[in-house]
Amino acid sequence: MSNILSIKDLYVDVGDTSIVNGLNLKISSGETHAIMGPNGSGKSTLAKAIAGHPDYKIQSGKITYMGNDLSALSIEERSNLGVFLGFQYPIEIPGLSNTAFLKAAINAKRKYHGMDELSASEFLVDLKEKSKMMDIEQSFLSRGVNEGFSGGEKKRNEILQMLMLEPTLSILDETDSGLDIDSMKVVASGVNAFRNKKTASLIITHYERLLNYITPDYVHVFHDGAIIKTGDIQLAKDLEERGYEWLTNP
Amino acid sequence: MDGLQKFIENDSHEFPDWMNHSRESSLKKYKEVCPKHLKNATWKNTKLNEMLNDFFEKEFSVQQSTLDNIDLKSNLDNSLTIYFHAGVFFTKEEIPSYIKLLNHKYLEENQSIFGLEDRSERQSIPYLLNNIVSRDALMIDTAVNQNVERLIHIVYLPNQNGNVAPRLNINVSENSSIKIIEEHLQSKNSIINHCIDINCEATSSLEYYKVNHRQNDSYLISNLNLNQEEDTDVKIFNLDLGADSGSSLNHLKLNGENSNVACSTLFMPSDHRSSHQNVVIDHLSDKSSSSVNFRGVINDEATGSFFGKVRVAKERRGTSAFMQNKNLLLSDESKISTVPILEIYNDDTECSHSATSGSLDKEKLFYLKTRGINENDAKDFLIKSFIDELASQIKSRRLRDYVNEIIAGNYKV
Ligand SMILES: Nc1ncnc2c1ncn2[C@@H]1O[C@H](COP(=O)(O)OP(=O)(O)OP(=O)(O)O)[C@@H](O)[C@H]1O
Ligand SMILES: [Mg+2]
Repeated sequence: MSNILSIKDLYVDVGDTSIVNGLNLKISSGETHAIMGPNGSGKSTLAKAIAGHPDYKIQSGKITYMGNDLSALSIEERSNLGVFLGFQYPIEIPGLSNTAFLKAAINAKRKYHGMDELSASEFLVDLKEKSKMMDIEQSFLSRGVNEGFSGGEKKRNEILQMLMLEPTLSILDETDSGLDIDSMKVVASGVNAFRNKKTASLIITHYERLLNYITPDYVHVFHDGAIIKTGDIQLAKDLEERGYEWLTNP
Repeated sequence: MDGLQKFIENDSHEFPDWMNHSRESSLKKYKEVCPKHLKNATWKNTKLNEMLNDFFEKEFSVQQSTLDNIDLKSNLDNSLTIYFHAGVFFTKEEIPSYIKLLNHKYLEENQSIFGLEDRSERQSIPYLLNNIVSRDALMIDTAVNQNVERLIHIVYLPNQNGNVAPRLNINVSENSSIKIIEEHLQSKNSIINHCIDINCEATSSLEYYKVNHRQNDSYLISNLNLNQEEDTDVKIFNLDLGADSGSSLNHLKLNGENSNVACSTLFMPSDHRSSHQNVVIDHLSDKSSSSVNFRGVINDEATGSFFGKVRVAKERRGTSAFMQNKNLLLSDESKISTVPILEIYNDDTECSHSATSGSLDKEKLFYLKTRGINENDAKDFLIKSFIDELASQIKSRRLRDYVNEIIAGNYKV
């Protein structure tokens, strides 16, 4: 078991407001962590700061990913080194097909690691298999990225991208919200397929529901930009029953 | 305007009397309308008159450049290619009966092409100017029921100090169809003044493409007038890469029931060039439909503008009008203005219009980068996808590829 992500005393600002306030978190390979917390508590801010969004500025503290200081790496380098962010609100890019996009993404990563481009046939075989697993029809792949996709389709498409890119650390920001039960199972099976001894995931969610399919090793409660309590799946169940009040206003 | 006067006086070509007369009355009219027209939105940001004066003041011996080192090879296989250089149209092929080149041989019967009467657009700046300085005209008149299979490719060869003033007159006869692409190759220190009149008779169809390559230190005025009778279908696609000062005017008249027009333009000026796009659609009959789709990609210190107007008269029923203009600004210094206007005086019209301008979307860039794609490639993807949304609508696969290739060679991130 090796250290994948370590966050030390992190403060992140958006504009003039401090949103993440003194966060500490350690994630090792093979682990699945869940973050739960009220709306506006800064969960997406944390996710975007890890991915490197320019509007989310690290004021102090440090994020270390596999021994690298993340702040020294560009957004694309972080991705190429294996950080994946599944967006809470996936972006639509009409005019750029899902297939072309995925191919460019995979080859960018290969190039970064000094590998040759993936052959068209290898790529297509892989894409076919994984899109089937995510229950995404072939015809969707020739459409623009997320263009006209329903909420659930967008989320499944995020997981497809994750599976294609084979990251080391996967941060999934509310990938379960807006999903029906069937889609939720599909997403969970995708995430479970990704889990192994070498990878790790950080799952941001509001519902214990998803965690019944993807059992986390740790559940953290996020409040005002910091983790206020850590437990296991039982903590998620308690939250489901009692809400956040009993923790935030004891 | 003394420059234009001087040009006419010094023109050594022997024109028939009616043509001399037409040129002079056009100049007179030009002087008359200029003060008013130059104030309107189309021309007010251009230095048209200064430019014309400077240009036509000079001696015209320089423009007789030779064709020796120009490769006359069409890059569109199987098309019938007609060239234009030093004021004349010519082709290496046998000219089919539906095409006629004037070749300076102005005939009495051609008079109407240059007539000023009865039609307000003929008294506009581009037409009057074209009447004064053009030397040759090309006419296409399809036969009834003729389906012209060969693509007509009209190529305006590169010029230096050129007065490039072609005049075209196209009639698509009843129940016939034709595809035409016009292409202005790169010129330098030139004035391009292009005027085309198109008439589509009942149940005819037309695909019309125009590519204006990047022009250097040149002025471009491009004018298209289209009239459509009933059950006609016209698709227009323009690609304009800009000139020092470039203006395109399109006036499309839907003059018969079930006449449909789709007019798309991609304008991409860079450096200090400009591209001003104007389109006016008149729904003059019931059940006519129009779709206008203009996209600008403005780079460096370039300027673009869109002015679009759709008019539907009070008594017209069952029309549909769609107008969209989207612009992408690629640098802090690039500029765009957009004015979409719907003048619709009845309720039985389905219409929509929208206009948006902005720089590359930051969130889209972020999304692409989180998938490992670097800044330049990400920008490239976004620009391409913006362009492709429009270019993918080009009906002919082969022309779509052709246009895409030209686009690809003409922008930098
Ligand atoms: N780009 C931004 N500009 C301004 N304020 C922002 C921006 N991004 C986030 N914020 C603010 O930061 C706070 C935290 O937002 P964030 O999206 O991180 O919350 P969250 O925990 O993910 O909430 P939710 O559960 O609703 O997704 C909110 O008050 C939000 O308004
Ligand atoms: Mg969020």
